[in-house]
Amino acid sequence: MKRVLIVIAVGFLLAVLPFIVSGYWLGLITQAVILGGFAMGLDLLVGFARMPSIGHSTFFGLSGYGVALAVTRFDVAIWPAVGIGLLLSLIAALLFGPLAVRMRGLAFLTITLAFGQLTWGLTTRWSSFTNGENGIPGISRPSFLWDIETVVGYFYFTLLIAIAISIFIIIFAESPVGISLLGVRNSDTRMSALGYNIHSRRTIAFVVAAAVGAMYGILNVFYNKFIGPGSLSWQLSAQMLLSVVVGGPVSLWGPFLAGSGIVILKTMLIGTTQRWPMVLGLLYVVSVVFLPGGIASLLPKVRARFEKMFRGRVTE
Amino acid sequence: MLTRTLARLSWVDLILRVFQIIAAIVIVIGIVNVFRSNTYTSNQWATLVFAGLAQGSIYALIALGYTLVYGILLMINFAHGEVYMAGAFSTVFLAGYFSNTGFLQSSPILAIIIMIIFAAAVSTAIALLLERIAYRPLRNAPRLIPLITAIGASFTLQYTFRGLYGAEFKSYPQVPALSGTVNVIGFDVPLVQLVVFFAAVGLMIALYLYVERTKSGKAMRAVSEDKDVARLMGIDIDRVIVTTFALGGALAGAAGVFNGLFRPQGVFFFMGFFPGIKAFTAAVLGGIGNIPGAMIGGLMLGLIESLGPNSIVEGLGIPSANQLKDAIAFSVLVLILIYRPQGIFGERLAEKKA
Repeated sequence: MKRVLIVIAVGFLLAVLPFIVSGYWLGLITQAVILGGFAMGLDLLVGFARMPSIGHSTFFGLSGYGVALAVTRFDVAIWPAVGIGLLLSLIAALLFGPLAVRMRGLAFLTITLAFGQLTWGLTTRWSSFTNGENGIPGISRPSFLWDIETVVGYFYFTLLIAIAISIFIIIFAESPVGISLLGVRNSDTRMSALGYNIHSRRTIAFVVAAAVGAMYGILNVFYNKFIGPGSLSWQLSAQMLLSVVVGGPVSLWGPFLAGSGIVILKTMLIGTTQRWPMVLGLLYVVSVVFLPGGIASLLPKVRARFEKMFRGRVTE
Repeated sequence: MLTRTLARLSWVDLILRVFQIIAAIVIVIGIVNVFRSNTYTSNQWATLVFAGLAQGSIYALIALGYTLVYGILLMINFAHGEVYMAGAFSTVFLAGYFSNTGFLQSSPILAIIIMIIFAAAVSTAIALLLERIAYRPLRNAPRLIPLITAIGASFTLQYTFRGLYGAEFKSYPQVPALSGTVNVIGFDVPLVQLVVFFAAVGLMIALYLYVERTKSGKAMRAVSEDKDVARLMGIDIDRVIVTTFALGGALAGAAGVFNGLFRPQGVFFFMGFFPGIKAFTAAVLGGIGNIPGAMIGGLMLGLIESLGPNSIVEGLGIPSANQLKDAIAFSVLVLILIYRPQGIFGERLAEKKA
């Protein structure tokens, strides 16, 4: 409950941003919120269930492609198309999930990579339908309670949905299902002895993470008004997995911070150097070597230091 | 008895079994259709087989790097594709120089051997650097952590090489001495493919003898069996690990040159990704951690990729079958992981020890 309040408070704080920063930065922050939220959802799978997936951009991209194809190829209205996009991702997750969760550790990683590459390969090769490497441009945003064609309007739209999804993630993580995931992570033999169905728990984590990814995928496609195979790529999946690990698994806020921080850092690096992936790659290596617990592991340390300072003053 | 078996069978098992049968039927239908329609002559089939063997032997060389490291450290070196790229990319310039000076034309064998040694040296250097910086500090960390550094290192290497040599495609020079064809049991086979295949097989045999016959190979096997006991026996673990990375790197570098001879075009900074993933598939196919497994797995994957589009996919009436090569490799990976995670010869991925 405390964490839900924090999410709402942070949401209100972010809501002030349009009055402070320029349109360019607001667009960037919108993108950061989208990818940060995606990383937060992936934390349920990678952190809570400890299943490192390197194929979750599949669901992020599939929902976007679902919307884009429904609108451009089949002339579906936009809101029903959103439903089609979500459904497409969800069906894919329900097909992949039960197969993938039977693997563990590196085998799980490998099979998610293979699934992701299969979808990516089919999307890029089937150019008569998906327009291949060029992607599908010209997707218009839907009508909403307020005008979301403007940068500010879309920022508030994204923020509203991100808050809703984050609250859902927190409620899920604190529910008995979320807690049982931690149990499965710690000892699956013990949990199955207690009568839990391990595979079904893992499938739930897989599908929920995929559903969160799908929703942010739709926000992404409307933000860019374009979808290309980049949204399904291995690189994006890797970036998300890295965000979770660098942010600190299980903390939820750490992955969000890392996921959105990487977007902003990347854009700043693109401005200064052509070789931003090199810098980013080095950053991953350095941060994992020196901070294995992730950003979230800093919080207890900082808190302990503050308490020490405070106690020190009291005894004076 | 029957009811108990039925009760234990979950619906996912059932679906998997049904899916397996459907897949088998589809493959058979595809093959039968192609052979009934007689689209290809036996000469064309032979061309595909030899091209597949040459490509497969390149995969096998890269796959050995994955398997060796997995056998010792139980870790997948996801940056291995970049080690291969480093050797192949750096040698383009040497090959170009040899071609311009005429050395490649006058004494091709010596030139190619020097190229292979150079590529192997560059790849080995990169592999050792990777081990020292990205993996050694994390040897006792949870197993997800070195994987993250591998992905980070992979990005870094790609863009370092892009920065060094540029983003555009380069190509190896044509070697006139290798451009002819040879008659093998009645079929015309390009000489390059034969040379690549036999050179690669030679390297594999050398590696096998090294691991099985020499003292340091014995130390490697001991460490892969049990690290702690090996240390108690006085084996220097760090040295064995360094040797393993060096061997894997050298083979990947040689594979880079072979690839350049076989397919001169398409040398650029991102060239390591797909061969890397496919070689990993080959290693899993043969049973990861198993050296002969990686060799056979690589050759099999090469053959499947080369024959698959024409023999199976085309028979099902799917257009432009040759473009689906990559999809075939990944489908193979998914199918092995689901139905036979231990591979043809080997050990189950991720469930061994630790």
